[in-house]
Amino acid sequence: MKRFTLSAALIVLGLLTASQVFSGAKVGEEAPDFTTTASNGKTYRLADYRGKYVVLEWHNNGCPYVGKQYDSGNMQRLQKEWTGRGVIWFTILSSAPGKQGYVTASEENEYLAKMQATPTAALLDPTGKIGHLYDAKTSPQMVVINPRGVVIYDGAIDDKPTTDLADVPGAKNYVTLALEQSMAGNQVEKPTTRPYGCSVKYADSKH
Amino acid sequence: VAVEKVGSSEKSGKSGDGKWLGDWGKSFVELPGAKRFLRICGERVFQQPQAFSLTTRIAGDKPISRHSTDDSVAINRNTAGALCIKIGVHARKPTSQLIRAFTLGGTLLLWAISVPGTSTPIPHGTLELVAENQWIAEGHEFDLGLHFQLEKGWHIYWVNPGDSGEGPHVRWQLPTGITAGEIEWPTPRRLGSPSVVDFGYENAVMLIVPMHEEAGTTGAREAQLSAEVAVLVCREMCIPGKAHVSLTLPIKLQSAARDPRTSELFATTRKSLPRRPPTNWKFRVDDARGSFVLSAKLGKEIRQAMFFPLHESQVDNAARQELVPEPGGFWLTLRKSDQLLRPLERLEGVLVLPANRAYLIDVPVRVPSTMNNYHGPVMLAARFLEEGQLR
Repeated sequence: MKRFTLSAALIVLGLLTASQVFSGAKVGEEAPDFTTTASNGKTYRLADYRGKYVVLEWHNNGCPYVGKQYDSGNMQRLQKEWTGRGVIWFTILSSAPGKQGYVTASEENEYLAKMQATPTAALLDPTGKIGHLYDAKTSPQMVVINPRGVVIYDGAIDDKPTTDLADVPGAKNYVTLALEQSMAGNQVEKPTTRPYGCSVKYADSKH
Repeated sequence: VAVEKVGSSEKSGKSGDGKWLGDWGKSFVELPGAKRFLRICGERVFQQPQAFSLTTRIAGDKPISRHSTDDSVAINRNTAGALCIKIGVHARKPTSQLIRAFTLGGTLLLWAISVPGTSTPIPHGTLELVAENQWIAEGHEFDLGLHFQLEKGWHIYWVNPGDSGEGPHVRWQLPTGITAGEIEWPTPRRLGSPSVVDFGYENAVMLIVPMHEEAGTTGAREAQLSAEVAVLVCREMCIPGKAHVSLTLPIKLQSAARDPRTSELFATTRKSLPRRPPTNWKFRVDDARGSFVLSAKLGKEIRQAMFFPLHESQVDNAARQELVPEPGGFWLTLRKSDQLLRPLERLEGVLVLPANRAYLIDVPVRVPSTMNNYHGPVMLAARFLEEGQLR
């Protein structure tokens, strides 16, 4: 018995002391850099936006949770408000080809026009590289990065994890909360929440 | 059985969303027949016949293929077993004998098959409210079941859906004196991809809900039990659905008798519920910085175990659960969720051991006292050693 307990103890010791390999963006840590093409044909690099707040919005036009935000006009309103205040807003499309939410550049441009959505750019990520870099689990998962390039929020768009349009007006929007609190020089009250929604449709996704 | 007859004409020149039935301008969608078809078969009928998918096999029998270039027949069985026949008739051509035969046969069958208990369509499946007993015995507990049946490959979620999705939400409408208890969730399965892990049920599941009738308060001979159920059904994509299910049961003084139609369903479902672990099993959870270490002493070595956290945002769902077998049990390392910002007091969840034996566990989390990052692991390891020596 003692021998096994010893081995178990050593495993625990190893587990605790070994530097753990973390994937994904961590709140309080530097946002991983990326470079990619947007639906408007331009190339964007995250590091070029040091000095500005950056919002990342994981998108899938077929997801009912995303639909809730766009059909209510809430996401467009947020994009307009915050880009108007100098925030860079990247909509990120991480659906793999053949999966729900995968779009070509021109399809995305049509969608943006139809929905009157005005992010800074819609970034095409069909390989899921950016999605995996940030360990994005769902659409609409949201990440907020401060001007120093540090992740200050990672999680859900708001506190109502439903597909019901009626839940939008009464919801507490975590992106707004993070941006307002950080811009006012305060600590972000909710730096991370469970990012509810549809799973990001990566190439290996079965659900 | 639901039958919808679709007529179309080349004259109309419409395609895709053309909706006709006799009156060319009239939409199919609002017609009683179309509504009925949707309710029973979960499928809309308003397209022109060419739009049918001609998958026409009946329970493995010979396929019935398209009869002519213009008429078509689509036959499917919904999950509750109802036969759904769609017939497309091109108005330009005389209706074929086959089509006529089907229309007639279908209409006759419409009367012949009536499913006991009403199963309500949800996206890619059906939902039925069923009772274990034939009547409610006054002043007694009784069990109802929300029986979800889904098309192959579609799933719904556990109480903790995991990384994405959402479990079903039930809102009861019950007469005074009858109250609903908490849902008894069967052991879920791990679904999804390596990076996004969900917990749920594929194909079919029944959620048992214990009910209580307070003697003498209902003041009626029968009770109508209804529920509004909001459910997210997913496969490659997710579709939110809402269903209203209802059931009327007599209330009697005599003790209740099992309903033979549902007794097997309830018995099978109970076998899939996680149990309380035997009292001589010992569990322990240690907070080890980035992880929880769940250790178990069960009196036998365990080489395989899977833990499903009952609550969201406590354990990283996609992280590998490392198991270390021990002669008396095992150690299981569960990486903490990135969303877990405060120390956790108790870890609750379902532990699945080999042969699908599942146990509901609720273990206090031990936090190593006053340790800093450097000494902490050493002290924790030392304490485990100490415990081993004491034994």
